[in-house]
Amino acid sequence: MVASTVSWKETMNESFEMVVGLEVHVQLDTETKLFCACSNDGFGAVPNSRVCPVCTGQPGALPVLNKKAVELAFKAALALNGKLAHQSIFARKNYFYPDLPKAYQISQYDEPFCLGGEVPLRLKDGKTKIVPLARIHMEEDAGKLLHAVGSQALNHSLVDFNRGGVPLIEIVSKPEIFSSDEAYAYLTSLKEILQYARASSCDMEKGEMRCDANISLKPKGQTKLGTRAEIKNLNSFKNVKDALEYEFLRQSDILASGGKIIQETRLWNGKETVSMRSKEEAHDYRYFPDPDLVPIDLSPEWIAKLESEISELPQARRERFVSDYHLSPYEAEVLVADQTVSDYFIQVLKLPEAQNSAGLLAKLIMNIPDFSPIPAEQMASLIHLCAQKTITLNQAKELYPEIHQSKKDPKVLVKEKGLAQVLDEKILRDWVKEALAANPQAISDVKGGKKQAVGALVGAVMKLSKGKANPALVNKLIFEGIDKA
Amino acid sequence: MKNLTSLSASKIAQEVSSGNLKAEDVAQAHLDRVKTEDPKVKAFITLLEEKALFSAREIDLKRAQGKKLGKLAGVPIAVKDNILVEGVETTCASKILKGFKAPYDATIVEKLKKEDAVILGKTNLDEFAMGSSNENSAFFKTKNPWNLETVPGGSSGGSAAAVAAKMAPLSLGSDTGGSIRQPASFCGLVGIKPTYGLVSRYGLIAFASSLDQIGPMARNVEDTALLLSSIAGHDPKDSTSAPQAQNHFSGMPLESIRGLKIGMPREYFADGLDPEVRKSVLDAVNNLKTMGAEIKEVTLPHTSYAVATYYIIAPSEAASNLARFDGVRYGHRAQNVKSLSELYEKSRGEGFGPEVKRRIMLGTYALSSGYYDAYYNRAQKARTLISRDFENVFKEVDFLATPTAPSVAFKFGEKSADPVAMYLSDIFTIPSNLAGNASLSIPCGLNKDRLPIGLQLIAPAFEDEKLLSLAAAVEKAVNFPQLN
Amino acid sequence: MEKSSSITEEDVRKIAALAKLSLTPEEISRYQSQFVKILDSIAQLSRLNVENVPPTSSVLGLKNAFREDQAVPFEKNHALIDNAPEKDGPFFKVPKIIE
Ligand SMILES: [Mg+2]
Ligand SMILES: [Zn+2]
Repeated sequence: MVASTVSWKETMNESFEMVVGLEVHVQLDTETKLFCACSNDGFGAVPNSRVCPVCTGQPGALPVLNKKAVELAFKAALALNGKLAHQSIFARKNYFYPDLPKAYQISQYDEPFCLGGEVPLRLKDGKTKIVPLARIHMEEDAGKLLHAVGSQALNHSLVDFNRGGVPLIEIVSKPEIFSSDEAYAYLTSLKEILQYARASSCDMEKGEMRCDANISLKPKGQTKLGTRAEIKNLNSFKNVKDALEYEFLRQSDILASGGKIIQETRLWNGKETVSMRSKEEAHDYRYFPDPDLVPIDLSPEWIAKLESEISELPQARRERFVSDYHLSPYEAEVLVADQTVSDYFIQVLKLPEAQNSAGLLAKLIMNIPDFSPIPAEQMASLIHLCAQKTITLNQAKELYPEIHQSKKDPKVLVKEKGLAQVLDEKILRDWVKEALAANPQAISDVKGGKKQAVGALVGAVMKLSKGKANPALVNKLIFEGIDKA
Repeated sequence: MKNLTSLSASKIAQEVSSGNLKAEDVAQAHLDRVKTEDPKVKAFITLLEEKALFSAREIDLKRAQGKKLGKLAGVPIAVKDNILVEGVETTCASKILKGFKAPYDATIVEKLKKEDAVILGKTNLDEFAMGSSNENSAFFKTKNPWNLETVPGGSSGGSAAAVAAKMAPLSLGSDTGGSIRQPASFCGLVGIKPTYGLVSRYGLIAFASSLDQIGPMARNVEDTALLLSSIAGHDPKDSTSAPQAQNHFSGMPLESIRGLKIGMPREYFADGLDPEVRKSVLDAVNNLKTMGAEIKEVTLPHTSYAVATYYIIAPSEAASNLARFDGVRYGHRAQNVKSLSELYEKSRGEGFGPEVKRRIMLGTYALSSGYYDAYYNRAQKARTLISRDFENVFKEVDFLATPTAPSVAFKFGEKSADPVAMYLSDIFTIPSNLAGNASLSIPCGLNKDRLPIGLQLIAPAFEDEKLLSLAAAVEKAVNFPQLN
Repeated sequence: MEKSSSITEEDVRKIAALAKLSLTPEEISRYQSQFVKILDSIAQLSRLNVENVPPTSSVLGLKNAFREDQAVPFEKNHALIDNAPEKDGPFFKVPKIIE
């Protein structure tokens, strides 16, 4: 990717602009599949152990819609500002493939449950943008095909239906994404919103969020769209960004040399996009309303109930973190990016010991590498110790892994380790005296106007105190000492 | 006890429940009857001799232990071979399902077992229930017990023949365009296509999901009602099953016919109707008039569009429903194939018979890009108009009386060469499937060749109980003979 | 809909490919002539006025048939694999697919 990144930047200055539409499939957080009572959590399970007559397409089996899946889909749509349809129906999308046991996928076609919607983007340069959605629809996932066992290629393919029938929503954006950075920001924001709406955990490792991208190029400043290519198999945000950048280069090279883009499906293999073997016949999915299912009728009361169940969304939470907790926009951004972290943050701040310590708590959480929470009560005590200046934030950070592991009360641990800060000015003055005596040069530097020379003196005091001296007090006492000297 | 095979199902259930009859003896008597009759009639694809005797003994044991027996105590039942009975081969009379062991029980089969019925075997049908004569079975042709030269009707021909020949007192069929009523008419039986949604379709191998409905066939109305009571009711496993579906049907004759309004739709008595059929149906209607009913001529103006509508909707749904038979998970799989596409095309090409392929092709065409609006969507709109015809006419009358089929049982080969001629034999039964209402066939006489003629009675949706009671009144008046 | 009677053998082949049915040349020619007849017989629908008529989407107008989100494992999943004409351990087996 190094070489192409260079030419990517060069090309950026040239005459084309990319026009991207994203189709994102997201797995809904239910217990069971969309149309049968099999467990939804087949990830890592024995092949074909989470299956039943319905999701393996047995003769005579019939689908029955999972109400929770419908509600989660509706909540996702509400969180994305989509317009919910009062009536929606399921359609059959007919095609033959071994991962599709009925030879049709139950999906939605001309009456999806949601039209429109929007995804707000926050770009690196601080700018914001709204990407409008075309639609959101519900559908069942296909099974999984294996072509190899480990690195050993098979001379046949194998089918596992554990994933078959898992509830998905497909979120289709309008083609109003104009750079790979925007695509990345779109996915980041979409994931955040869906997690906050509790619709999906969006765990990409488990394939709970998958993306296909349509990309075409147009000369800058023009509105007419070019021929698009569809890129499949994009299972991380970085893949999406890399693949779009690669595809931009590929298409712009073709266009610049007078060639034509063909409409086709391409596959991202981690390095480049490659054309998928063209299918013998054109797709004709023969959609028609599924006669085994009845329409979903959405009442205003039902919408109101679902709306009331959606908790605070990320944008609102970020704003609240700044206005109510006085965090910096950057801190709010980092904390809110992870829903479990921001929920935890709020939970800790509700405890008496942590009240009014939002700033300290934010700094501590952000400073701990690979943060994973300790019980909220313990976190509140730890923050209380910092707020009381018994320990420094730095000490709290260093103590954290031990609290996490030993589950000991932070107060007890601080006592055991003798970590409590020295706040006693009498003791501090003795250390300051000693430090000043040992560093006459630093004193004259400070007096001569080089205020930063005080750092060496503070360092000397901290050393004498084995790190327990309160830095702010030390600072104050050093200046007093220098004035007297 | 002699003549166990002439007993009604209601009588058998009553006698077995009270201990006067052993379920095992009843089962054995019917199995013996199958041994003598079925080589001629050929109603059964699979006979469950051991299983039937085993469950009969279990029922007798249950009774001996003082437990209360179900509604169908010891009653032998023949089940159409498109309904799943766990562990039993279910073929749809198609090579493509040869060897397929049902991995679960259809909801109605669970119910039959709960009511202590004895499942005798699986009966022949037109392949995937597509046909009106049983000639489309991939295995063999079932004969009409009234005259072995004629067809038993279809697609539930095996179920009809089994009951007419007294190999079973009851059977289950499925009706997508007349597949219960037309064979009932040809074989001199009572057969009801219940209101759509009254009986669960879970475990019925789908032909056309929005039209399919399972229903009973019997030699009298009371038995028909008994079986319907055992299988009807809401099923959470079937989204199209009606929450209001009831499960009690007495099948007792209406106390009084006086004042009932019965409509005779003009379109069902048009030219082309066999004169003997017309006369027999008119006689039955006159009987009702004599009993005090008010007979009115009515009109269902979109009737002439019903067959065309049906032959777009049913094949479209079928093309999609039958796509799952692809040689991967069950059934026939072509050998020596090199690619996935070849696996699909050969398995399906070899496994399906000509009529099934014809309908899959027709449905695929009707749904394909560029034709959807002209065919499928237009047909669904026509369907709305056909349903409205019924809604309108049921504002004027309580029931409709029509012939079940335009003719009596025809000879083998008479219509099989011409699909369109065959399709027209369902002309009177198809509209009720499109509208979803309740409709039954009851014998109303014999023609000069001693072939049965059926009267079709149609009621609004969920008036199945009243429909059966009217049929019981007709039954009393007609006094139709049984075969020996 | 008037196109129906002009259905050709090539059309029949295309439909067969879409429906994944291998047909012999005899079958193709037979279906072609039968299709012409069948489609002609249903062509009368094109004369029906269906303006402002909604298509039937649910036979009896049922709506909102739902299931609660509770897992009920199907105990006999081996019976599902047992029916497979070709299998490999717990997997269904198909000819190699090259993507
Ligand atoms: Mg999709
Ligand atoms: Zn399942």
